[in-house]
Amino acid sequence: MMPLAAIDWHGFFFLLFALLACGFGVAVVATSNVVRMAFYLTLSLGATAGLFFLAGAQFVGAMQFMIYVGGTLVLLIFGVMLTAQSNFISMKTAAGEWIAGGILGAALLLLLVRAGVSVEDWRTPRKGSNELTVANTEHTAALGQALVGLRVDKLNGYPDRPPAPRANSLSGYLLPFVIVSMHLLVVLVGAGYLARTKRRGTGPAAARTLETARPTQRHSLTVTGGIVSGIVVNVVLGVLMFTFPDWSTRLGAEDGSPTAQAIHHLSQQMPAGLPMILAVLFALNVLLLVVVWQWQRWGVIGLVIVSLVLLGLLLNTPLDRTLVVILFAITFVPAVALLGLLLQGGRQSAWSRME
Amino acid sequence: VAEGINYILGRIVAFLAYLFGTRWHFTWTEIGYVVAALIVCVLALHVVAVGALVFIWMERKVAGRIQDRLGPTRVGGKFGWLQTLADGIKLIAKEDIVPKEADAMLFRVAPYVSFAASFAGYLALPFSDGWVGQYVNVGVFFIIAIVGLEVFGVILAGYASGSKWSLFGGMREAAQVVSYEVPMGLCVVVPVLICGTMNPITIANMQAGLFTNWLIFHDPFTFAVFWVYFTCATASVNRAPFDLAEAESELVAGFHTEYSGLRWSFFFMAEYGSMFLVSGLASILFLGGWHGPIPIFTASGLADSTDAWWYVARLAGVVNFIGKAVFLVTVMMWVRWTLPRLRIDQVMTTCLKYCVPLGAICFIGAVAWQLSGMPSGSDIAPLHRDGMAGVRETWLADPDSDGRAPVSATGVVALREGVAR
Repeated sequence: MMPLAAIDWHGFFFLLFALLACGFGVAVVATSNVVRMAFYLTLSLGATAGLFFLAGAQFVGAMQFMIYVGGTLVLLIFGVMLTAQSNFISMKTAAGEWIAGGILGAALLLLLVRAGVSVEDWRTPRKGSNELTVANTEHTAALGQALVGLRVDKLNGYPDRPPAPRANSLSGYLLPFVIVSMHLLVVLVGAGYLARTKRRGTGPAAARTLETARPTQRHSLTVTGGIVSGIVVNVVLGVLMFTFPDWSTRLGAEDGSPTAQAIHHLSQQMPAGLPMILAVLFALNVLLLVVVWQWQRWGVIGLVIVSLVLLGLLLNTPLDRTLVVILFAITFVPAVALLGLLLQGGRQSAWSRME
Repeated sequence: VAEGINYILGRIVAFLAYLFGTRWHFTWTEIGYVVAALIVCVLALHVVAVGALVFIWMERKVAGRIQDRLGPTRVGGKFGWLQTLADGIKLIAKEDIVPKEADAMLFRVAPYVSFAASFAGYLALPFSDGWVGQYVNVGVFFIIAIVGLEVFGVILAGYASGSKWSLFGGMREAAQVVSYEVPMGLCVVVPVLICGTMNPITIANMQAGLFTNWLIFHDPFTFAVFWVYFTCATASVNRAPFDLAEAESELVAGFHTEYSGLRWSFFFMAEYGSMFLVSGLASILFLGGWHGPIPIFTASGLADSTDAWWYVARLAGVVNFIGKAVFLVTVMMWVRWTLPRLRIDQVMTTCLKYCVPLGAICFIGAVAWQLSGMPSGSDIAPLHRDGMAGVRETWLADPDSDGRAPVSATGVVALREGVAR
């Protein structure tokens, strides 16, 4: 009997999980029943989670369970069981589809293998794979701190680097984290909206009423013109803002006029993260215009919200407080004024006539 | 344990060699490790398998007492101890039927999926300080992710049975579990937030000492959130009054209408396994885990000793832990036989209109309570000079921490210093 300690258990379990993942992956392709496919997909993803646990990435492994395996579950329920008609329950794949799928799959596999081989660390064989230790991932606290903007690994990696709190705080993942959570919130609201409209009625009769009752999406020329000009102005402003540090330095160097000096002074005051804030604001503005196009009331409310977001962002920069108030007033006052104007006029106000 | 087993095996081999007068040596010292691992596996498996036997008997007795009758009394003596065993034998002897309309493969696999998902959670559930199947540093998250998977078997069973009753049961279960995962996650975040870790061992060890250190007594919001968690946990393991997937008054027997024999009983083992799992998680997160209300072993220093008392202290911890979990399971039974079953819309209303807002309010409240430095229950007999926050920051700062709360720490190591080091 071979001594148990001599077996490369790590390699053994890697092969086991990898075989399970690949085997069930093949089963997904080979099965023609939709529900069985989803079942095999779940098992394949579960085996992948096992690979993550084996690599010591316990957080990622648990995430894999939560998001992919649990997500496939929801997919199975709502995507397959509720929508599957008899001709989709058991799918027959034509020869052409096999060929096209095979070519696509082979291309992807080639790309992945090529990318994998190109990593220097993975090509060179390790010496003494028995002494391979799993990376120390005991503390997920570092992950949490990175999500609120503190990259612990960066601090640890460079002990002699001078402390740069702002740069370090921006090197975290706070912004992507907030963007993702906002995105999910929007998806949630959208899902609720979709579920609500569907509940109004089912069957052919209800569908016919919906057809006739659907309002025609027509906008007057002023609205269209306003939105187009809004996009143009935003693009121009965005370009100006992104090039602002450049031309302000040039101005400050060449011209000695008070205006140029003031602009130069302002650019010196600019915090490091300003382009990021401006990019977010720019995206918000464009989004707002889309909202105005689709739902006019929410667009007006959005105007107020965007100016409040602007205030929040500006307050967190070392800009002069008076400047912050002026910038905030420029956006906030017109928005509130517009809202007030729209609300005037009793029952037949412009607000009530909006869609 | 492995070394002890090796020693015993070595003595046995030596004794046999002495008996037969030959020269044998015990060489396979790895066997001890395999046997020790198997013992752990079998023990965890028996929490589910034998636990289900006890819980089903207990459920019958509890139901009987609540309905003013005796429950089982005959099989196995005075209290009907062996009633479940008799039921088990009956179930094994039953015919294993697969309906004609069923998707045979999925129909056969579904009970095992349910059971495997329920059992996998025990992998990361610690029973005492350091006594855990596999040390998973995000154990709480892992268990929550696994608990949500048990429903997969139920949905597969509902779909694969090829019966309308089963499909209805499965769909109800799906809607219910997907909804209740949201407030349950919100509730679990509160203790994780206070302790600053997702490691169940660390969370329980931070509640060592007097029972005032238990997180349920930390502040009013944690007290409230415990009950929200318990409600959501009851719903997520499909127990009455949320057992709409079965709903025998409307759906015959719901998702397991078409099942018979041992396959049917696998669903019940999974259900009781999950009940114990979420109750165990509740006792770790809120009720101090394996720490008793009065710290006998910690105060006398026996928990940190190196001799046999170490084992005794851990065993007492196991008793504490199982006692708390069984108490919560009993409360679930009590609720089941007291409250009538809800309608599906009432179940959804309970989740979306009560549990989610309550969970969110408690979450924000617990954050505000911590931020504003309000007094907490752990101030009465603090584990650390600076209370819970002090313990948290000390272990957070220490990369070599084994997850044990530093009981005799004298000062706070600032988070940033530790990070820079």
